[in-house]
Amino acid sequence: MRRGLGLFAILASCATFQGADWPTDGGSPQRTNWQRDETLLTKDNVAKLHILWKLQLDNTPRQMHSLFPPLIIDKVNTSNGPRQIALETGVSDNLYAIDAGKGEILWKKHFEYPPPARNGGPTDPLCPGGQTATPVIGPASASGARTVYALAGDGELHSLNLADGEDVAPPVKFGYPNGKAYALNLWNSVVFTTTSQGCAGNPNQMWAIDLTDPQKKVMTFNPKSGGLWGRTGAAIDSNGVAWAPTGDGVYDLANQRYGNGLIGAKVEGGELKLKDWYEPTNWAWMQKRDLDMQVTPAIFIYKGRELMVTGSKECRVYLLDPKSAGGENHQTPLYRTSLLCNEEVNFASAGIWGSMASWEDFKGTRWVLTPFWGPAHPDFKVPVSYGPVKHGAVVAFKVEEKNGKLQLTPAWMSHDMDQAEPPVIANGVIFAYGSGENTAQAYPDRGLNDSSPLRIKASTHAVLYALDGDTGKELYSSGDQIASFAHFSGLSVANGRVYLGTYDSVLYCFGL
Amino acid sequence: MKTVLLLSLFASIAAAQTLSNWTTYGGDPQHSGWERVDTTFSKDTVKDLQLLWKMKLETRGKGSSPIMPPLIMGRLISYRGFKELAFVGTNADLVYAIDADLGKLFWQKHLEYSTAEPQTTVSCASTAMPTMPAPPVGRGGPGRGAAAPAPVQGAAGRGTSAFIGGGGPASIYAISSDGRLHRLNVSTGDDMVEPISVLPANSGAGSLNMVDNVIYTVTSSCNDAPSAIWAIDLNIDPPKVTSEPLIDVNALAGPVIGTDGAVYAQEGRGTSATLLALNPRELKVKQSFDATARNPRDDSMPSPVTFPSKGRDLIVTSNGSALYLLDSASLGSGTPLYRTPLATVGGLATWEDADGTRWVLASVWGSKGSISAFRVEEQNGKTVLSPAWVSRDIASPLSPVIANGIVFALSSGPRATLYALDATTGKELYSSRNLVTAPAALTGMTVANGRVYFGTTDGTLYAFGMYMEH
Repeated sequence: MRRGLGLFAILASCATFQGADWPTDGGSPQRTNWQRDETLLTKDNVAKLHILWKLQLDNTPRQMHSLFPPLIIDKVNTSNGPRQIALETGVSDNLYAIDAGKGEILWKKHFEYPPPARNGGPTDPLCPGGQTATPVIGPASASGARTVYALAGDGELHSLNLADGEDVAPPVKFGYPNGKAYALNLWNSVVFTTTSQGCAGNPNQMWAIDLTDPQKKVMTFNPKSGGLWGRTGAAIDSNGVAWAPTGDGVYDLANQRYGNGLIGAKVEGGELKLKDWYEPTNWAWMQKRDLDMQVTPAIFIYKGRELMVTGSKECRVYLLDPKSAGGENHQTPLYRTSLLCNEEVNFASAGIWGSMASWEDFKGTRWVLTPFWGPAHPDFKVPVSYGPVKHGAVVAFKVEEKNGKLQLTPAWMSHDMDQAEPPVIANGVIFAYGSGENTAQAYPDRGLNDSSPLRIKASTHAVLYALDGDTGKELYSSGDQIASFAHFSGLSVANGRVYLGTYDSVLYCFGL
Repeated sequence: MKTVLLLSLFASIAAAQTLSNWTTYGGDPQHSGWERVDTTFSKDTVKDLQLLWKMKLETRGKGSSPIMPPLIMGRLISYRGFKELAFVGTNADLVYAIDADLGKLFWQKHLEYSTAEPQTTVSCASTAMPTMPAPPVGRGGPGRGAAAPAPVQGAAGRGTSAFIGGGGPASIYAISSDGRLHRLNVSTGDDMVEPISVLPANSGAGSLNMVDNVIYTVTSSCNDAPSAIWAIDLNIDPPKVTSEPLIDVNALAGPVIGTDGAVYAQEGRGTSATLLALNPRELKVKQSFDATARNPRDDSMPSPVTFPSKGRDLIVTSNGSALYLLDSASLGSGTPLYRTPLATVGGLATWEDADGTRWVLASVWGSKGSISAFRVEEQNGKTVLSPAWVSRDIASPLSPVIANGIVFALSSGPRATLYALDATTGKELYSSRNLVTAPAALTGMTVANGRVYFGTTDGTLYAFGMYMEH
């Protein structure tokens, strides 16, 4: 037995040596939420997951926001030797570089700036202000250095050395103060972000900046919609087209309005140009019922062909071809699922929120995963499930080709989760969590009253789950170990560790 | 060409996202029957009208008016999602809230009969058509051509009555057959405050009309109740109830409120017919117009309609055998601006086209009934009703409603048939033919956000409209 443990430790050590990174929200520019390089966590051992460390950070929550998913880089050359760094972002303009092995802060950066003149409403969860975009970490330079690109709440894009937090270049303007930017993405030398909800009076649009441009010209494309609020910003396909959902709004081609759709834009000739778009045929219904397209797509390769999946609060998943999203009329997806949830047609506590996920197992099966909130739709049929779903779940589909057409075949639906959030896949294990967040925006006795204090008071706590990627069976649950809820946060997985930040500004690191 | 059509479709759909309300009988306090905001219907597309859904509602006994046309709240952001709701009152003291997009019940509320006086079974003891607050008079109200804004959720009124203000979701108001006023939470149907008695029990109140936090209604001489017009002032705590006796009245539509706040009620019996103009709240008669007919009429004496014109309201009314155009500033002079003979009139409506032409529509009853359209024109220095068109035969049509240049007419029976007519020519654009199997309830129609609603005597609510993919 002892020998077995020793062998395991050696194997684990070897696996750690290979190193896995999580340099951007969603794990990759394609936002697949798939940690391909994980070897430590397995279906066999994940039941032994426990809290390795938790770290109380001095970040002050703003509205319901607090911590964003940490970025993970292994073997960063610091002055004290190589370290695996978890770079944690706090909404109050804080960055924390944490030694992932010890759970100790290596350095902290706080972005200082004069209070912006414009802010969101005093209790409005939609517009917290501050640093709302998960940063992105660039590739290693010739010297091995890694640069962090972080967008402060005043709209300044900072370039920092991951090893010590020092500026490696002067900050440049990349947005408006308190403009509610979403996770940054990096494609070649171009940084992308999206903004939404018109926070502090700022435009809702896609943004890009070429870091090699001496002028640091800010490029934008505005789809004239309610906001591009895909949780992990834009996903980028193999042609460099950045895809982002446009949120609420109307589709009015004559006036270049692309609400309730998905747009793809690319940097060409110093401009961010619209290349393609997809609009559901029932966009008017979705607009009327506030069922926004607001899910960051996942882009992946299936049998040599690039595909893309996204979803909406209506609670359908769309399979699209990035080369021609929606076909000639921009409204014909490769496949559209039935409603997975949201029979009541609710805008607040039901539907798909956040982002998608996709992975390929060793047999070559391509999987697509989506979370959803609220009860499962009674007409949604899935071969494997685990009891009634009332508050949310994760659903897995297989990408299959039948009669010459691609489809998403339901494979399993997880057990009930309290507001299921976007999952992360690592080594055949699905890591998912129920946020425990109260998502009510309206009340029987109050009407519409989307108020952070009300929702915070009614929230419970997040629960981390590990599920079998093939069957959805629960392999692990954190139970009540996590004390607080998580609003618009997310999971990161690398090198045998699973991270989640919560509202109380505690970063949890689960591992073996 | 294809592109042009596509662009046109997109523009039309985009515009259709502006949602409208239908707050009282006839859609607005002036009872115009005109839906100003909706652009879903067009002369090109209305041929594609279809029966979207129908719902059987609980009614009491038999009669010609078991259910009222619905109020429409274009958008309620509720704890169960964004909803367009249709609120329907029935003669069984029930109020229904129906998800208008899906034809699904959202809630239903039974208004308990709760007075010592026994409940009658006479059909006039009905639940009045509920009402929602209309925009304040003289401040861009619908009578001045503006779109009726959505009721402000939780908007405080000027007074302290628990029937207004207080935060929370929007309200609708209904009067139950026991004469109590209910303020209902639009999200749940729950009484938001303890109902209070405002009318005699079993008095069969007409449709409610609410302006400036005052609810107006009329009662007919039903079950020995007085025939009167009533004002329930919610600005005062407790709400103040004022009434003025009337010589009989057709209670169904309730009073009309001019864009200047004047309150109009039409009373009469036998050959007599008098239009009264009363001041708001106190209901003191300011002016009256005697429209006594030469011949005794049957039961029909339609609700008047008012509309603004050159700084004052004009009024169109009927005594059942003639149509009168009146000036609100000189109502009591005894001289109408214009009079034109017209056989029994079942209902009136008015609208203004894009060119600024004001139209008046009258439904003419009889087996060879029709809709007659008039233009309001200046001829030789006089304002007249100039005949424009007469529709195809429509048996005893109800008051027409208008949306985006389309007139919707409903023949009452023996099978209710819905027609869409070109509002400028009267040409038939659509007919529901035999889709409806029962006679129309003699209450009225509602049109809002791409749908036309009406009830039938078997207690079924029908929604016809343009298809929207869900």
